[in-house]
Amino acid sequence: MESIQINPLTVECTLFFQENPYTFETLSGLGTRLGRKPEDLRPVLDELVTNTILEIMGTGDNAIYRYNQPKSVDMNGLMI
Amino acid sequence: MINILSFVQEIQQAYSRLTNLTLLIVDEKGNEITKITGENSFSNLVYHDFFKEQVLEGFLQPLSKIKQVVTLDTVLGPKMLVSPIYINEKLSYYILAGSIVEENSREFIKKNIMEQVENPDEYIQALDYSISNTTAKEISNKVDMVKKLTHIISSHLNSEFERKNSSQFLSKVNQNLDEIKTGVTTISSFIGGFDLSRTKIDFLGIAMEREEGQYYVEAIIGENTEAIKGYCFQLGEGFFGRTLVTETPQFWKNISNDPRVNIFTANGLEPKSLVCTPIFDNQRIKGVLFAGSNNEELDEEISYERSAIFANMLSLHLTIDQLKEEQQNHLMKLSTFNEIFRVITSVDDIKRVLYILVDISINLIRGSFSTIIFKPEQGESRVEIISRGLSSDQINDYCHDVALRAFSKDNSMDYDVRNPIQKSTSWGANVLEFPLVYNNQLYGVLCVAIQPKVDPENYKSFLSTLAIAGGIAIHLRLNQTGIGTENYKVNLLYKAMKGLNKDKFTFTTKVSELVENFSQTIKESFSKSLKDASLLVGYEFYFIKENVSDKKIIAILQGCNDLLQGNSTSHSEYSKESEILALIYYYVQKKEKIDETNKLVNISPAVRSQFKDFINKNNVLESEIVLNLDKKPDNIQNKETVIKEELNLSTRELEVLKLVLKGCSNNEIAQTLFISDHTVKNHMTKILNKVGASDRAQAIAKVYQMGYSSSM
Repeated sequence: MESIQINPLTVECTLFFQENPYTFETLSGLGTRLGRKPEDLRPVLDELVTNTILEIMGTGDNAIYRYNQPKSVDMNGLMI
Repeated sequence: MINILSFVQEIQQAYSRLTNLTLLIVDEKGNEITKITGENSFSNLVYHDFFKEQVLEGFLQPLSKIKQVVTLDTVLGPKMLVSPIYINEKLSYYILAGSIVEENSREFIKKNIMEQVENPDEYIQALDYSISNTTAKEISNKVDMVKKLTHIISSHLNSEFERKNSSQFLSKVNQNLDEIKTGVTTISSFIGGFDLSRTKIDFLGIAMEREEGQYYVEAIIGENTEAIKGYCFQLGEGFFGRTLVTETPQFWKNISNDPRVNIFTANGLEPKSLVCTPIFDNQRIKGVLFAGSNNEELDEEISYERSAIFANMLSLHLTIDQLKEEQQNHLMKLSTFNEIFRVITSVDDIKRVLYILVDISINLIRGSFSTIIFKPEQGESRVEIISRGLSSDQINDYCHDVALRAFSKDNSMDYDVRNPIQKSTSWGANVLEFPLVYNNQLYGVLCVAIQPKVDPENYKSFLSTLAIAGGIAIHLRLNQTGIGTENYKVNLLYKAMKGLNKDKFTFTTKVSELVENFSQTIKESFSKSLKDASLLVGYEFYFIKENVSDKKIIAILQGCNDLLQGNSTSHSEYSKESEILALIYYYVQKKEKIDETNKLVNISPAVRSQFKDFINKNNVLESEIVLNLDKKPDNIQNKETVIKEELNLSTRELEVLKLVLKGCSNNEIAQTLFISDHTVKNHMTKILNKVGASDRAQAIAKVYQMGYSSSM
């Protein structure tokens, strides 16, 4: 039996930030935009920060979250 | 109860006649259970005058240990028989039978009566009238008769007790099954409300696994059992742990001297018997149901049987709960997949597809990195790497290796989407590699690092499905612009214009850019056909009609053409896309003079007004950008100055704003700048007004939009 757990809210937040990559929002601001309770969002955002998907600036209620775009590199002229 | 009493009363009446004795059944406190029977006036007199309730209780007290019929001397001399009735092995009632006068004792009794009672004549007359002398053999016969009566009554009462006990058990079983059915069962409710006083059991409890290998007593009922709740034990430890290890029901008798009984004795219980039955959750042991007795030994067979029924019900409940959870999890997975697939297949930008694959996989696995080695164009040697969690050196090392393995002409690996390749990086990370493939065309490889000590099998199914969806999405995106497609044709026509007529090409490009920007500004997601139609406005309509088959593009261009030529009578005849294209075409044609567009008739007022707003704002923005460029925005100090000047901030307000951007609270700002909280609030109010923001978050976002960076 698979033991993996998918949190739909994690996926929702990830897709939201990907869709709005220039968003700078506080926890309560995100709660309003996503229509979710801040207390439900907090652990999800913490997890996204741990996974380096989001960056956090500041601390406490005024901390701002923003999307951390994956690194994109071109490799030219590979011997393939 | 009335029926039982009536039966017992009748039996008692019959035995009074058979034995010629006065009979009565009382409880251990001397309370009458039946009515007195027998035509023995002497006994009646003695009972009413000498056996008041309190006297009777004191009389019975020393008899609490008797197991069978005993013969006792009463206060006036005649003998009486007392027989105990045991129910569920507990002394519950007494049969009192009297009076018996032995041969040669009558005169002694009469003498006694004369000395002890106030109305001796009545007593002596009753004695002589109702009681004849009894021989030793007759006494023995009477004792046997009372024994038989005791046997009949105790058998009846015991079977009645068993019936009620079973009925209670069945009713509890029913209640538990009902609760399982309705999904309201809890461990406590499972045994709660069970009346132990009707059973030999003195305590009943459930211990369950909370964390791996750690079991806790979660619920227990019975007197003085509170302290045992929460008791923690491990596999093999004590009676409970032993049951967990053997995974079979266990029964212990005479455990008073067993050292394992300590858990009970330490909490004031002294069990004699204990039965423990394992509880399973989908074949995995999850806990123990236990029951014990302090006073009497439990019946092994009944204990096993009933414990097994309760434990099986609990196992059923746990298994149902687990299945429900799995079903819920499965549904959640499906709906999450659905959401991911919906987005992955609807976004236009292929890079966004790759970002989703990287981010979702790292979210799920929480490993050290996730990366995609993507080959955008077949036949070329360019490879694009999208990665999260990898340093540049690691990209050069590992991703380069994957690219060579995946795309090398001489050495390409055979990827199986259902069976990812498991590899180790040079720095020791374990990675699962999934091909992004469609129709045997390998577009890239999704590589996800897994955490140490984690079974990769757990993730293969989810990730391979994600990779399949990724492969399809990439294929769709690439083929939207592929050779032979409508998209390809539109782009080719647009590019061809550059060689055919440079002015028309510049004109078309301008129209196309405005269409795109305007669509984004009014936040309406128009079909891709509007964008394609805008790329073809440089051509004559008849040419497009003959060479492009997309009906939507043709309809938009037809509407645009009619509006531009004044062939229309009303804007409602055409789609909003046609109106926008015509308006922008006209605007560019008239050297981008917005007032000129008033001459284009049959454009809806709403579209006209939105477009004017868009053009006006655009002009302001352009002049701002020019202003910024003049002030060398690349220089950090200059950016700060630009923000200060543009927002008309005082030096102190700028200092406050910089701390706000670092995420400081009012209090922290006050402490840093050595000013009061109140002053900070005043500065904040002014800053928000000047920035034009309603709260801090909006202010921060606006300042970042102006080019602020955290390194400032």
